[in-house]
Amino acid sequence: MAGKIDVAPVAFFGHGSPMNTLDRNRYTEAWRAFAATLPRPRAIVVVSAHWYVPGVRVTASLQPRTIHDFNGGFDPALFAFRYPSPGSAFVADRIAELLAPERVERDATWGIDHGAYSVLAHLYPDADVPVVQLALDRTKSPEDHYRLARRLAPLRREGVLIAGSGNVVHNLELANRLRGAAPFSWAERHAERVRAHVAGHAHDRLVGYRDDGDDARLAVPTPDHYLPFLYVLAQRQSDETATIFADGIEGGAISMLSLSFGA
Amino acid sequence: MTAHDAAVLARELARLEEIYADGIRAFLPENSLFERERIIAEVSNKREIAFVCGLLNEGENEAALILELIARARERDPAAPVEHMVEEMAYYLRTSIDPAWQLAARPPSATAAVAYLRAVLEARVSRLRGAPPSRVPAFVRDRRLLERIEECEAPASPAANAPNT
Repeated sequence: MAGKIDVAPVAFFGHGSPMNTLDRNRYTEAWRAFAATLPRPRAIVVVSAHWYVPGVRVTASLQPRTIHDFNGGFDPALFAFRYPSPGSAFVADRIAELLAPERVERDATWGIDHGAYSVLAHLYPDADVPVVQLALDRTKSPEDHYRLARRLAPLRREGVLIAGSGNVVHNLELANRLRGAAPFSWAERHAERVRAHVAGHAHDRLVGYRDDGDDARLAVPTPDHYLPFLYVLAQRQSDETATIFADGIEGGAISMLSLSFGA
Repeated sequence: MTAHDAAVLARELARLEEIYADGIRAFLPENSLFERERIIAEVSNKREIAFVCGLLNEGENEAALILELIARARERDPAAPVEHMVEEMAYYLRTSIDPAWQLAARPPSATAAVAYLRAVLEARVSRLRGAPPSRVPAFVRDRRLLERIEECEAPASPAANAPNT
């Protein structure tokens, strides 16, 4: 890990279970191996599936709190987990500046949610890189999200790592019913379609996933976990190929596909 | 979503607000020290309180929230795209009835959804009134009811629109 950053990479992480925060498995090992190849970023902007609210917001706290945004039933150690990275008012302001004239609310109540720290705990275990979260405005269409995300592109040249955390296939209702089951065929088909469209630079198809029929409806029943992927996709430069550093389907219906551009 | 549908949605959401208040009234004990009516009047988000009282399940609460966002978006801009929100709302409503009901035969409808919520809420509040104190009756959930309402709300086929001869 070293070197001057010309254009920082961008990465999408299929984060899966909150327990990945504490677990060591093939996905978390892949995230760690990926992080070892990265130049140290000046800050990290995380777009997490778990901050899905009306309006565009950015965390503005200098010491963002760790949010245990999941129901009971998890290991108590997960509720005790803290990710004490600093925030960055400068980066929050810069995001607001780049997204203007979109109104961006500086939010001092939200902190770092499990979509962010389940990944960051492996990328930067010392929590020594400032982290800012950007909320997903749940009133916007996928097309609007993609357009908005494009405006963040200058951050890459400023040494900021843009990370999306979600899942390109995420049907928790069906995954919970069939825990440990083999992947659903529609989940595999949708994940394959995503990989193919990424390889073919078919961003319009990825943004317009709602036109892809029943496979997409089952794979993306609600947009929250898919949209962070569009934020990463939107940063891609035309000559950048994707590096897939983790992949697989858990619980039959949760894709762990993780990829980067520019790494 | 047509302008007419948006107007119906706004009107029905206002009615839902009244039913939330009615449900909270039926749920909370009548107690002058408790100042029930003042609390109801001052609570800005009656839907969330109705949810906490058990009058809405999680999926219904989410669907009702999205319906409010749709109405707000259309109020700000009558041309605002809301189809993506209607789809998401319908998913939450369907799976609130049956988690396995993942795909629908008909296109989602915001007006059908708000009519369904009104029907089940009215039924629940009515049951709550007849229930022993502090006992929330089991949820009324009815897939056939939602399907029937959706059928009524679906755009008529060209044949149905043809003038009588």
